[in-house]
Amino acid sequence: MYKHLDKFWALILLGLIVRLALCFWTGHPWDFEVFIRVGYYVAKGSSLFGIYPAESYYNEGLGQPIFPYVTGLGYLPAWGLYTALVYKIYSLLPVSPFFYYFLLKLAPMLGDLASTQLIYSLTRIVTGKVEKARLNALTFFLCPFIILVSAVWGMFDSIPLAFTLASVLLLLVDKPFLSGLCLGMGIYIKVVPIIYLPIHMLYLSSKRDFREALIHLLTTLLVPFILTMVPLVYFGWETSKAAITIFSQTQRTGEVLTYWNISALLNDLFPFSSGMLNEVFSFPLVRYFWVLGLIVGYLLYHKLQKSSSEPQSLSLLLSGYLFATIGFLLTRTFIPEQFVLYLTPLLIVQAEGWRSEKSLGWMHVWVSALTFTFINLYPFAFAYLINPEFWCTFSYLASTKPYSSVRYFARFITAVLFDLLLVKILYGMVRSREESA
Amino acid sequence: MKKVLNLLRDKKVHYVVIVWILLINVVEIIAELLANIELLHFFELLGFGYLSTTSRIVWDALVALTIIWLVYRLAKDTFQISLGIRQLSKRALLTTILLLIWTASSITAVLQLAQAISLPPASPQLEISRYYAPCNTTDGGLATYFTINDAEQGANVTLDLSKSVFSNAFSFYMIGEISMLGVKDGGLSYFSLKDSQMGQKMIEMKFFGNGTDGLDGWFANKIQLEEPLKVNGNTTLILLLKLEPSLDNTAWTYIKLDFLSTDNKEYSLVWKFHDKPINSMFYSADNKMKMYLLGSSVEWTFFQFNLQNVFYTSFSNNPKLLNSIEYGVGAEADNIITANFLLAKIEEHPLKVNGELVESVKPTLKLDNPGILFEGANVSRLYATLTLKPCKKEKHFQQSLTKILRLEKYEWSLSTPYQEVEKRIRFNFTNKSMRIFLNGGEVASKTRVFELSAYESLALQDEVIITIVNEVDTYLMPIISILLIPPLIVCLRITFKSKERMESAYAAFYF
Repeated sequence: MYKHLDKFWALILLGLIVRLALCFWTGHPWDFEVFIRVGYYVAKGSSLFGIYPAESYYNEGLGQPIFPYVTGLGYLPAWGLYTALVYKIYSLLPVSPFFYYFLLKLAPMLGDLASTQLIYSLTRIVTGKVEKARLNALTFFLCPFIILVSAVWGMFDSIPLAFTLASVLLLLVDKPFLSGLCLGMGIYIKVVPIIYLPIHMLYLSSKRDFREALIHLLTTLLVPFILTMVPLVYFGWETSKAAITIFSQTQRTGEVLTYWNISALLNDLFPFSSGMLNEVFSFPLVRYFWVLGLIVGYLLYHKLQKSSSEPQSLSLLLSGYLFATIGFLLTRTFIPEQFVLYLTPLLIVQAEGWRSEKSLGWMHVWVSALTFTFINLYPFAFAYLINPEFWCTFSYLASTKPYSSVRYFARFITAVLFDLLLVKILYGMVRSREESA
Repeated sequence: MKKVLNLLRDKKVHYVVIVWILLINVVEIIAELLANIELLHFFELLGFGYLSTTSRIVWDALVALTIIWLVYRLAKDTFQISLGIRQLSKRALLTTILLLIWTASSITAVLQLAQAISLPPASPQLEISRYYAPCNTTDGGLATYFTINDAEQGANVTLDLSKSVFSNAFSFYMIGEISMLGVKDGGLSYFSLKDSQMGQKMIEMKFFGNGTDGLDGWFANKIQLEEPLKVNGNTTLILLLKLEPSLDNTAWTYIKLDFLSTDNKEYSLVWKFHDKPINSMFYSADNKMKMYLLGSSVEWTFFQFNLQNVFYTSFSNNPKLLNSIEYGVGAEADNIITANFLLAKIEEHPLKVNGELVESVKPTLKLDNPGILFEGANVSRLYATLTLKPCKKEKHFQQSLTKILRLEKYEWSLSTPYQEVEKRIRFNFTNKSMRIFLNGGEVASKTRVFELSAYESLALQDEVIITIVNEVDTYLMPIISILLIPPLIVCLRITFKSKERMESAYAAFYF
């Protein structure tokens, strides 16, 4: 696909132009609308956590009134503060709201760039080849799914991803403290990277000692804690509401890119049994199934570490990352499509270490994730900022039988296929590692 | 498939699953303990307080089995102790099964009996609502005194401001400068003073949209005061309002006050009430206006604000004069919305009852003396609800072959002649099989759809008797009685005939 690698910079520029061309007039009808309104209300003095679980209503001229009310953010304060900052900047300038939308997506697009650079660096360490590093970097940066998530959807997972990859790089160059700071920043922006902390601990315990691992743990956890407390104290936001906002994320029932979305299909087919279904899907073993997934991921990494002749290699560390990510994606009941971002760069870089003929690579992953995204929300809905009818048409079909049942069924099948793909990757990786050991 | 089965037999897999389940249990225990601390109550979100009784039992049983499983695994892996089932003879097997069934039946029946005995009492309360006329009005018509009859002393009293009648309920209600958007022509949108069905005066504002979906329309009336009102530390805005909900959760009503500050700057305060619950506030771009969005007002809601306090906390400045008042109502223009105000007053005194600041539309009082003193508003008819405890209580049990019945009987004797507007009994349902008899007749079962409380209107009677019957089905009782006989016979025969057989019957499990 990318045969003319001397055109590396031209292709990077192309990726940027595509992003810039798409970013200012598109957005996810729900998530981006939430970002737009949270930015407005927080900049006007509302508490970031006061909005949640109460709802912020449509404000004339910003976004679209496709939902009269939307909920607040369920993250630590970083992203909410960023949205408020960019609203402040926008409000100071005599410009169109499209500039505000552009500013909201600027950070995720910069996150894409930073992640691309880090993929380049990590691949160079694994392979020692510049051309391979450039190819992997472009593979990530020009991936349509990555472009969709950051520049069209407006989701910011590429920022914590960049911090997470930076923390891996810093671990490799023997800077555990800075690595902890980076991982802590990633967690501060979105809590997901916390699943990699035990991998870091195992890696440091093996490379150095348990004391170093403990210091790394404390550094990583203190960063988000302090950075969360500072705005809470400074703005006088309620600590309990902040905690409720974040803890509520553990209660999400089966949805989106996971076989657990069968709950939505069953609810649609058997509306009178919704109480019983909700009971099943919120049962402790289902709600905390992801804990088991992570435990298995960490144990697999620990086992490989013990049997490997190079327990501190980057390749093995990335295997640990993949075990944890796949374990998490396969077991958590709520997996938004953007979580695939945490998988893609790892697959791209790691593929060099273990890929065999039978293994499945990153392309299968993003193609199936993209397919799911377009079944879950048809592509034109992302243009709702231009015309709300793009959303309303889809919304009508998505909530009207029999179309809703067809959509839920297609979503379930696509999610199952995606999860089977993950199982195959995991199996191939473990086998490949065992063979090499 | 074979690999999966082998994996399931792997003891490491067993330990991982055990650790996982016990870890979840530990998280739950810690979360529940921390949630008891006032500042850390949010930890309850990590717990399982939301589980239904069935799920709770399944989860607790699962944790108990996991602990047994862990003990078994540790015993096997550490001490090489193995547990197995010996091949039993047919008779021994039958005896064991019968004994197991009998034991399970007995435990179930005992638990059912314990449940029937330990059910919490229904504790019904009789509520009587009526209107009271004032005994005395003083303080320029702003303090009103009511007397409650002797028989009602010691009872809890709940006042209902939305059903009471106020004199001089509005400070400003004339037609001023009208503005509107998205309304249908023909004077269908209006601001007027009307009489309610209960004889109350109320401001009624109607927004009659022109049918355009997506357009946020409104109807507003701005009253410019001829003589601006001086604002001091006691000036209070008192509101009692209700908003008709829209079809698409877009309805709102507001009251806007325009002030002049002590340094002659203009500021505005807006209180906006929606049909959808919202609690928020924000400033206008020039920081000259602050808007408070206060919850949902689709039911009657009461508010009072000290204007100087709100003004100072909003603008770090003091108000001098109130120049104008604006009332508004609106929604998306495909709606017809009505907003009503029973109170919209600016007074020099806040509304107080027996010296306590009123904070809701239904303030509750404990009546230590027969009087109720209203300050801050002139009430010409007061609607109050008295809660009376029963004068007689009885509880007894009845046992049949397949049922245990628990009967609770409560009586009220009403000696004082009441002229009630409404009389009702409220109590908690303890289970779905509850039957209720009111003055001898069974109450319709439709009330049982309420999970927590039921309401029944009563005819005007001097005596009210309610009997609450809780039924617990004990279908396993006959099984216990019948099954008890064969195992006893078998056991006795085994005991006297052969020691070995007795061993085989009882020692079904061995280490």
